[in-house]
Order: sequence, then C-alpha cells, then structure tokens
Amino acid sequence: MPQFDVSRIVRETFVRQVDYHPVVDSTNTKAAEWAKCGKALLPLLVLADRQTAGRGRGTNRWWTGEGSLAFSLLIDESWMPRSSCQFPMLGLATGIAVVEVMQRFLQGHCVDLLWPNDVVVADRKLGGILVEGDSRRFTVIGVGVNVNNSLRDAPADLQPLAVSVLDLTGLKDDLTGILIGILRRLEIELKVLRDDKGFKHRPPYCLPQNEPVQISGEEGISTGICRGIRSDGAIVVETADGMRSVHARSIQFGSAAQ
Amino acid sequence: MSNPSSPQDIFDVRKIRRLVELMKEHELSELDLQQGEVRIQLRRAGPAVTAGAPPAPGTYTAAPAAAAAPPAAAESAPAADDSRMVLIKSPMVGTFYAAPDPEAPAFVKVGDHVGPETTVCIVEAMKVFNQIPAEVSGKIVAVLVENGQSVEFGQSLFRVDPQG
Repeated sequence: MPQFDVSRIVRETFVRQVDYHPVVDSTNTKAAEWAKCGKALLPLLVLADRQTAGRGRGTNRWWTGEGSLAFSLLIDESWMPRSSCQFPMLGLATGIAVVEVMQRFLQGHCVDLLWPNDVVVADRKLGGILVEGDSRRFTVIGVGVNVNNSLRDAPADLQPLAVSVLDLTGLKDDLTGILIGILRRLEIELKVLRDDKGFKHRPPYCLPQNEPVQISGEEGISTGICRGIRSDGAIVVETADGMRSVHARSIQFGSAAQ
Repeated sequence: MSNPSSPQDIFDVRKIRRLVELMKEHELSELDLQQGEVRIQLRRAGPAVTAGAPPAPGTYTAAPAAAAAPPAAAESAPAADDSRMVLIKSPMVGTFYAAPDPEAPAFVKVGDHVGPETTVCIVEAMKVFNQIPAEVSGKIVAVLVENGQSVEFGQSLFRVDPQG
C-alpha cells in the first residue's frame, strides 16, 4: 500500500509533477537524472518509500528505514537565488523549513537546526539535507526525515546518533501531511531567498549563539564563540584573532568544541 | 623540502623528463604539481603567435625548488599563447572538490577536452554542493587549486585553452 497520497501533494503544494517509487537507489540521483533529460514539469518531487543508497555528504550514506520520509525536489532557476553567491543558502532555507514543520509534530521536544544542514532533537539526528545543483539551471534539494521508522531497526552504529518521530512520541504520523507541510514552508523560504531578504530576522535556533565552536580549516583547528549568523548565511565566530565569518569549514558546536 | 633520496621525490630527473614528454604529447603549455610542501611548475614557452615571427626555441621554467630540471630547455614545441587562455572561476566562496566523492576519479584532468556543459568540479559551501560547468569549450591546461582547498569568489580554478 502506498505511503503517500500523490494527488493530494500536487493539489496542495507548488509541486507540478511527482515521481513516486516504492524503492529507489537515491531520490537525489533520480532527480538529477530528470534534470539532465529536461522533460520534467518543475518543481518536480521525487519520492520514495525506501532508498537503497540514500546519500549524504561525500561518501556518507543516509539510512532510510521503512516509514521514513525521503524526497528530492528538483527546481529550475525560477526558484533559485538570483545570485550564485547565495546558492549555498538553499541548504539553510530548507533546514529552516524542516525544523519549523517538525516542531509542530513534536510538541514538548525542541527541534534544532545544527548549522548548516542537520535537523536534530537533543543532539540526535532527526533529519538531513543534501543540496546539489549547478547554481544556474537546476537544483536538487534532498531531504530525509526519520518519521514513522524506528531507530531500533537501524544499524547498531546509527542508533545512538539518530532519532525518529515514532521513537519520541510512540505514535505514527501522517507522512503525506508532514511532506505537504515541509513543501509549503519551503516554497515560502525559496521566495524569501529569491527576493534577497536574507536571514537577518531568522529565529535564533539557526545556531547555538554565544556557545563555543571549533573550526577545522586549512590553517588547523581554532576555537571561538559563536556570535550569530550573517545575512548571507555565514556563521560569525569570535576567535582570539578577532571576528571570523565561516562558510565552508567544518564546525563543531557544544561541549565537543570546548 | 623533500628528501632527494625519497622514492616519492617529484624532482627526480627521470620523472621531470617524463612530465616534459607528457606535456609535449598532450601539447600542454603549463604543468603545476604539488606534493606536500614541494611544488614544481613547468611551462613551455613556444613560438610567438604573431604571423611570420620566427619560432622561438621552447623553454621550460620551473619553480625555484625545481631548479635542477633536466636540460629540457632544448626542447622545442609549439605552445599555446597565454593570452588566449580562458580561466574558469569560482562563482562563490567554498571548498573545491575535484571529484564527486573521495573515491571517484576527478571530473576533469589536465589534457581533457571540455564543453560548456561539462562539470569540471564541485564547490561546496555550507554543505551545499555546487557543480561548476566549464562554460567554455577547450582543453584543460592547468588545474589551479588543490582538492579540498578553500576558494574565494572569483578565484581561478582551471586554465583552459579554447583552441586546444
């Protein structure tokens, strides 16, 4: 039995075409194939009940247990930031959309965005985002959220690192409803980004302000205090050498950074 | 500096000779290699492109550390004129990745021919992966940054010979 109501998704969101698979290797890979063939109605949603090779950053894999939400949205330049400089903000915008929607389904829990692209509850990963594109013609926004899957079924090494809605509430939720909520919120975030309104007024959950951070870069490892987020999405860190804005380096927050 | 006796020494005369042969074979005008702290740059200065100008003997120049290059200066071959070279630049601040993932081969290497749509690298910023298209046709003659290196907006990533 299909886990998603496709006609409802098309009716209630800005998605114009849905490519729904019971099983797929990776929704991001499938969406990139659609981008290359150029025949999709955009925005296109690639949706899967299960991924056999869900991808994360680099060689990382994303485990997609039965009942989890895994989708990729293919958009063209009409939904992308006007400046390629702002392309990296797509990950942050998506993260904000996912956090805001999942918070509604997880009353009593605090859903955080771990800068720039992990959605966490009490330091355990609830969702992840992988954005790939060419900054000019197309972008694939991949989202994975642990919803009705239990981490008890996950590989042993993953269990202490991640968490699902089912694990937190003991209840199964409406996957289609969650997906529609995220897509609607994402539509708004994409418009905000395209209108170049920046992230100046974003809620503080974007990152743990005034907490220690550790930055790993080409110059080695340095520590500092997180002082906020710049309008272009960069994180501002106060180090012994002064204020630094960070886009690309690896950052570790919290006690691990002290 | 590297240990001259190291089997990995990139300044080994035979290796430089082989590099020179490869440059000739693929009609490359410039080669830039780095291994740890040592670096070697080989450049072929070919005949002037001005019509009717006599062909100048080719020369190879090397970075100071590679001053012991073999007598390859006698080599002579047509070389691409630097002025016609096109640079592929980074459209954003980020981290340069030559390959789609650490286990995959590089998108392009020196000597490869590219078209405007050819993906030449990825620049990652804030975990967003941006495939960079060549936006030009030609031959890759130099890779100007290292895998994993931070790049700035507008920084040159590749040198392309559009007539290559």
